[in-house]
Amino acid sequence: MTALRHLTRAASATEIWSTIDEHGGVIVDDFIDAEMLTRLQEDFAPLVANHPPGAATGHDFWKNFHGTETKRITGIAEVSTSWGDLLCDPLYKGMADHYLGEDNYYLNTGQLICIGPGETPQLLHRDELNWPEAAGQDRQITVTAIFALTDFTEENGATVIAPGSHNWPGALPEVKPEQTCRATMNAGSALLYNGKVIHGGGANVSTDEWRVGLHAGFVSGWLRAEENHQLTTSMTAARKLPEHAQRMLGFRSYVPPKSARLGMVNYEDSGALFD
Amino acid sequence: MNIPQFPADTPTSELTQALEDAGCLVVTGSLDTKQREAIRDELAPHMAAVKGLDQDNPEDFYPGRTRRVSALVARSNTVTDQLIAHPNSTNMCDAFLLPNAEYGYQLHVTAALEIGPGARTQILHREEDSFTYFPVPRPNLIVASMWAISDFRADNGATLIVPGSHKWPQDRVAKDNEIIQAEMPAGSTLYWLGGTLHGAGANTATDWRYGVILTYSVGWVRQEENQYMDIPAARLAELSPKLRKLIGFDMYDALGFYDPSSVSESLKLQNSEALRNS
Repeated sequence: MTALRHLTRAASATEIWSTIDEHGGVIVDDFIDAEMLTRLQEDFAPLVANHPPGAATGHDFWKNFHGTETKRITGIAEVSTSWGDLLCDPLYKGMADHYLGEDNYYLNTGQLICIGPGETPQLLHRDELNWPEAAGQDRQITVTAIFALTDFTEENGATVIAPGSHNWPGALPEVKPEQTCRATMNAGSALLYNGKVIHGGGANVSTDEWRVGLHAGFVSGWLRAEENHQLTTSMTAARKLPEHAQRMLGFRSYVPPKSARLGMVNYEDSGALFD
Repeated sequence: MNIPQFPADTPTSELTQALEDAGCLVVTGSLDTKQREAIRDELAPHMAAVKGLDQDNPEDFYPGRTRRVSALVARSNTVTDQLIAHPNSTNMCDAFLLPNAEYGYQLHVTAALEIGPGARTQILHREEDSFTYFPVPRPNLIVASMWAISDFRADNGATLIVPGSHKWPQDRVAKDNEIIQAEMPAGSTLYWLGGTLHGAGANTATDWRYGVILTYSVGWVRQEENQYMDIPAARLAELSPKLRKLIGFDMYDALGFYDPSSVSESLKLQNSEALRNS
């Protein structure tokens, strides 16, 4: 039977990475502790309650992809310094350092994905196909964590994932239902996965449960991120965060070796604006 | 190989063919005197505020004795309204960037560059060197332009360029006789591809060499200049939808989203205020 492996934070980093390499993803049970989970839930509760489901703008394809019964909420650093603390979690940062190179990346998006009753399954996809010209090579350009802020169950929309599909040839090969499983996990756990594994949001067949996930991936620093952090996050909010979290939100420049930096302001590292 | 030179009204197909072959070209007569004076006037206070002109670390990518002012969308209406979406530039971008960027291209960097007497040469580089993921020769990711506000002469810092080098492998080093200076009269535009080796020339003269660099990248890479922190909301509101898209305020497929309803004017203003106060 197809299933994802569950580990805990007691596992070594090496074991976590090798499990991701083998299956394309792994669930780390109780990734965030109860105190951090409560802080995040409390910080985000008003956003989740007040945000309307569905995308307001964009082509029909994206409205459908984003889900008509799904709330997607960005700019979450505006209301949560706890999120900045989580960005500095050594295991979470360690995953990005391992796959993308130390300090060689920033946040692709940090968004709450709240799947509501009646939502249909999302189109299965590979995250790296956001950048088709750079995808398909034997290197990672994006890695992601989905933190469960509520329990993820078969009924309420736990992520659908095809273990091993990161090694399947072709841009987006067909997936049979029996090749997939659901990333069921308790609140506080995290699904870690690479940019090549095929996955998608699950259908929510419950009558009254909202499945709330914090979907937060990293992308190589030279690529354009999904979320325009400078338009979703104010400097006032960013200023309250640790420097690493500011870098993750694009408030620091990307420094390639012996070449022009990216994301500069005044020909300086944009971090100079915080001095 | 030399730098091909053309008058401003040359058919696009001739320009794109020359850019494909040589990796660089000069178009003369792109700007008139009035436009050049307007750009100088608009940027004068910002140029005057540049500090540290005498400092130069030979190891630095950017030579000293040079005034650099970026954020031109915020600082020069003439550059924004008349240069950024110039038909010659968008035609070159259409030809060289759209094949690698289905949903379009974006403004990558804007800067006025004034090279002063005594400035050293800049190390030869490729605009695409920020994208080490791809081996050289890379797919076309950048188109660059340098607008001559003053005359560009061999002795005042005319750009050094290596025609044909956009097709070279990484390890091929330019010989002295392969490095050409883009001498051109004020009002000309030098175009080059992101894979073409180039660098700022040394200034051994007594006058300042004044150019405006505008580069464009495929819409799926991170821009060299953070336009979202540079541009005040009030200025953004004045721009046409076409310019806003070119500057990067539209999404590229799934990339670069924000919820317009959640972006308050004060948020955008706040980020750009930080720039103006820096």
